Amino acid sequence: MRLRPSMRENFRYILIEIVPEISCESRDIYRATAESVTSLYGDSIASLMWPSVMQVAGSYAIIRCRRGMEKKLETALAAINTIQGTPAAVHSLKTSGTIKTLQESIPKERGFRQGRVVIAGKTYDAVISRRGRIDLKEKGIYLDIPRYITEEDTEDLNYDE
Amino acid sequence: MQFFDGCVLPYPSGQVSSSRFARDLQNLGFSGCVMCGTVPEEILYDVPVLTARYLTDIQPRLLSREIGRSAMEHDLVYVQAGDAGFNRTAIQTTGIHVLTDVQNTPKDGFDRYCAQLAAERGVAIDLSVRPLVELRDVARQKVIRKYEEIFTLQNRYEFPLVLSSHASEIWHLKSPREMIRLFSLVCDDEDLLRSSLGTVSQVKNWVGPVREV
Repeated sequence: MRLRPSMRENFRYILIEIVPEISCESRDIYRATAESVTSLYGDSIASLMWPSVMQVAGSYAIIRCRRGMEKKLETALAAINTIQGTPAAVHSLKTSGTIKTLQESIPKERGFRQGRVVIAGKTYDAVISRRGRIDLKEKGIYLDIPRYITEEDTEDLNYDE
Repeated sequence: MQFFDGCVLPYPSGQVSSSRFARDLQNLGFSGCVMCGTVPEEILYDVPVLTARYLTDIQPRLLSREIGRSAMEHDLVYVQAGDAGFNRTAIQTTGIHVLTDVQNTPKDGFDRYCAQLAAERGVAIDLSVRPLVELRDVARQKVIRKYEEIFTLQNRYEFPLVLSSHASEIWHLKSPREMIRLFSLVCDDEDLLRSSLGTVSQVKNWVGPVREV
């Protein structure tokens, strides 16, 4: 059925960031969102909310819901603790009435590079972000150092070509 | 307005260094945080960092001794709540700033008398966002019910509240807005929640009511 523009449903779009960056598809994010909404508010609110994942770009995604439900959706998104069995958090960054506004807020380039860091005399492979965050790769990690660090925790830092 | 995360647990409690916590919290919109455990002092952090000692499973008679030890090395002292008797003793002990893990206390573990004492002595009650995120079904319902009781008592006695993430990993961190959203499941008063995010600094410098001598 074709509706007049004034009779169409109004939506709100939420830009989210997934932390830490994990490879996931839109259906994984949808499942995590739907599970969180249902467990927090029940089926009745979940059916009124109409959540759906519109776009995924790296660790960012845009989620749609009906207007008036965005606060409840934000709460449910904050209550997500795993995505596809991997521990993760979802941070809602911005809410808007159009997808275009949110697309402009997604960083164009991937903000991190591969590299090597030296901690306590040992070298580790790492992912280094522009903001100075360093995530050590799991391989070769010893238990006596933290995995998520910053430049201040390292003795030396080299970027891969 | 200042937003402080009431409790984060850096390495060795988790896999995140204290400087990384400070940077991530700044990016999330916090203006400071309280770190429990071993925190290196020589590092210059991105946000003001208060250190705290987190006392768990401690006998009431040993409280004063442990607090005396902590006061020299840390800015704040956090004590894990227990049964009603323990909580009353803990709140009345000088040097304790925050009572944590109140959601795990037995029934009537934190009653109106404890609330009154906490208000009189300026001891804050710490509410963690982590059980709201990590638990599901009946376990989460129990926590929500417990938090509701605490908010009701807070409304009556006006003791200070501290909201915290109790994060030991980076995915446990929540932004101030997310914390307010999650606690709005329990409490409708967003102004109270917002002010509770800045209570830590007041608890640290708390001076009792003015008394006529």
